[in-house]
Amino acid sequence: MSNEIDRRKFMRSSAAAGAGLMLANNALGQAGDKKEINVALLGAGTQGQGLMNAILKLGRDSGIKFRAVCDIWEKGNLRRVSRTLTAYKRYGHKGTAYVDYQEMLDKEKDLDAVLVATPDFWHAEHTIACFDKGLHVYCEKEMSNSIEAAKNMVLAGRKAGKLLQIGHQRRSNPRYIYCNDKVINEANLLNRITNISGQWHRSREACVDLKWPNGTEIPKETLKKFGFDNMSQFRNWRWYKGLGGGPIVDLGSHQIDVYSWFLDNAVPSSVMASGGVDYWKDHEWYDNAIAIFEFPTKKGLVRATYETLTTNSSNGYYELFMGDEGTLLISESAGRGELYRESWVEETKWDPWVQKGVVTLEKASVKAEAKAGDDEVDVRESATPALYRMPIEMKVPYHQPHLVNFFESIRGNQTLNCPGEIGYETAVMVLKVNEAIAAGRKIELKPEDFKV
Amino acid sequence: MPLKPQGEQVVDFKAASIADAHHFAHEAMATVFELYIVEEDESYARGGAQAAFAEVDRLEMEMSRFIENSDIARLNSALPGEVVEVGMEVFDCLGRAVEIFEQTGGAFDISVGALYECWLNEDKTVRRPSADEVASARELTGMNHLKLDTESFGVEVLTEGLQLDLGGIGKGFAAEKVAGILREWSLNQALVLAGASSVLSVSVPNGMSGWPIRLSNPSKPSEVLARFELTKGALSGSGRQKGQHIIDPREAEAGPVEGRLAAWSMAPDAVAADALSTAFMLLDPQEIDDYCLANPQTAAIILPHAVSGESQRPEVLRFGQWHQIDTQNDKLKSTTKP
Repeated sequence: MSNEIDRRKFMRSSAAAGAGLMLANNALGQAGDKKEINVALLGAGTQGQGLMNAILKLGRDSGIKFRAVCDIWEKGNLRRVSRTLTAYKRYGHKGTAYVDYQEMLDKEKDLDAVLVATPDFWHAEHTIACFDKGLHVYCEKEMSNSIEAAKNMVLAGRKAGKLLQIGHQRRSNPRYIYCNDKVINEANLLNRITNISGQWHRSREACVDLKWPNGTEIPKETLKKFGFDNMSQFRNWRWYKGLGGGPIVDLGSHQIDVYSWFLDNAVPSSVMASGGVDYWKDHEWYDNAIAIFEFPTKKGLVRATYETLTTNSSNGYYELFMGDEGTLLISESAGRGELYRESWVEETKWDPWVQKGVVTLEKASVKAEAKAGDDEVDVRESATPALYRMPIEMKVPYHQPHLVNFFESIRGNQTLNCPGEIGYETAVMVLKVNEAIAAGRKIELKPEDFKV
Repeated sequence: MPLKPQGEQVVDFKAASIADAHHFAHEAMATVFELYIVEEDESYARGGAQAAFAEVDRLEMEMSRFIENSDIARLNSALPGEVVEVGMEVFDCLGRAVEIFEQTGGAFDISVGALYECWLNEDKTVRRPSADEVASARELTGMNHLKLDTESFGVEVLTEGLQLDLGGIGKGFAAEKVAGILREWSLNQALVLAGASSVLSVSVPNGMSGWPIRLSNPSKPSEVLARFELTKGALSGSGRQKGQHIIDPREAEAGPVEGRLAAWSMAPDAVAADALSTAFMLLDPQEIDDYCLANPQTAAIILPHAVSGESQRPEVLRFGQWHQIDTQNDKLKSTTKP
């Protein structure tokens, strides 16, 4: 118990010492001029509900007020979210329910911003409709299933002079910000990053097609009006061409976005990939994909691999940055973060950063020792690298810091961590993976391919 | 410091007799959730099970004290004066925990972890804490350190360092949410098992008189102590393994005791059943009797002590509607009358 308290106290003080890192958490915690922001949720599925819950947990004094919610699944998503917002009536939230987004945008006159969490193929149309009404937009990734449409979103936002935040929420996660700002940039503990790998492996169980309770079906004409062939396609849109982009887009996008971010927002010069519909039946998008990117950076070329599976969950999800002096493993999964010093690098080189509290040494390097009877030590065998940790925790609900960054940017107190221009770069990177798989060849990319 | 030791079969359901029940299992909350669903369309039943398990996973993200941004972890690191906004479900669950804490005179306490850490080493052997250590652990125990604002979903920790653990109530809470989802899917002929320690009947399948349940001796699983049919409500069990100690939060100074071997509780809902089985490990027989009288839909069975002779059947004490019935031989109906 006492150790636990000490550790928590340490976390608190070291995080406070970590300068502006707690900014995202505190920005709304302080009383003051909190301009009220009226929001609507457009798309109330699992992702939309996650965003809503993260906002509700900001409390009654956050200044963020839900006014309305829109979803075409009236007897499913819409009912559930509307019920939740009613339970939060005393916080000043209101859950007026709409099936048609256009009707919502026409009738709700006092909105300031909209959270768009609809299927990918709707993002551009929904976002642009919101800009037309003069509203700010937080749009879930993937920004769009089409590069052209993603570009139009950025252009529309510029024209309207409104903010567009794309939902790559790791960009606002204090743990990720710490790794980028402190470990990679300030302390340069990895030194020259040469390679990156990363993965999201999901179990078969987690990838089975979603169903729906009998009697809650969306009427056929509504499905058709909003671009779905049938109820099953609506529930499992991520697997269909023209609607979503498959696991490389749903999962890989978050992580490939971090690759670029941690390389000072570098963009790749090429991508090659392999994948296929090898396991699941009736799916259109690749159920497993492996991609290789080449990122030219100021320090030299970085080659990066990425792999996503939907049949096996081994080792979950993480991103691994490999430099010639150290290795950083980071994952959004709570508490998963490791830092290793290559065993040939002198401990004294990293010590100052331990003393400054930037990293903590958890386990020293263990040198390979000669066993009794051994004639010689195999010097080619490296010693076990020393393990370090980052003294930073994510102590708020997922998505909350990224949403706060959006709202505080509307209030003029912060700037967006993932504006449309950045979201666009990531959209190009992952949509080009699908293109490379289909083409069966390496695709060369130019810097202007990433510019709007 | 599990409030409810895992991995031991204190409640056992044998599905062999229900040929047309589909079985689904899912690992969550450090245990395995299982569903038995009677439904013609297997793929529809699977869809409902998938939705139910997804809700359990979501609840775990909010309730687990091991997940650093869960509601409970946020409360466990909160300072007095800081209002932590928790989700509706965690707020409800904490409310039930406080209610049962009060009803059981503090025997069920989600903050008891401080006492376990004070009195037991990491390997679970008993240590001798100083009087000061016991006093500080005691100051971190009890629901008076927690303030639930009924006008909001805000929770305040009144004493720094309070450590909450929903291990003794969260699985029952999740089982109730699972039952709610199965009802939405019209999959009513279903049984929910939250690990081997809690079981909840959504409703009994047509043509059956109840779900056949066995209670067995945790230290000797082959020994069946009671068989009966669960028709509605929930049943939970807590058991102590050999050498394992338990602490009565009402008697912090007494430290760990071996106590009774096992306790089972039956209640109208799985939240109460889950929490009460922990409390019934500690309450004395008169207190259990009083509780069951005050809450007529509750029943209890306790297995007080280890038996010396192998052949000897252990003494079992029954309370509430289980009081008069010889659970060895006949089929006790669990129908509870309001």
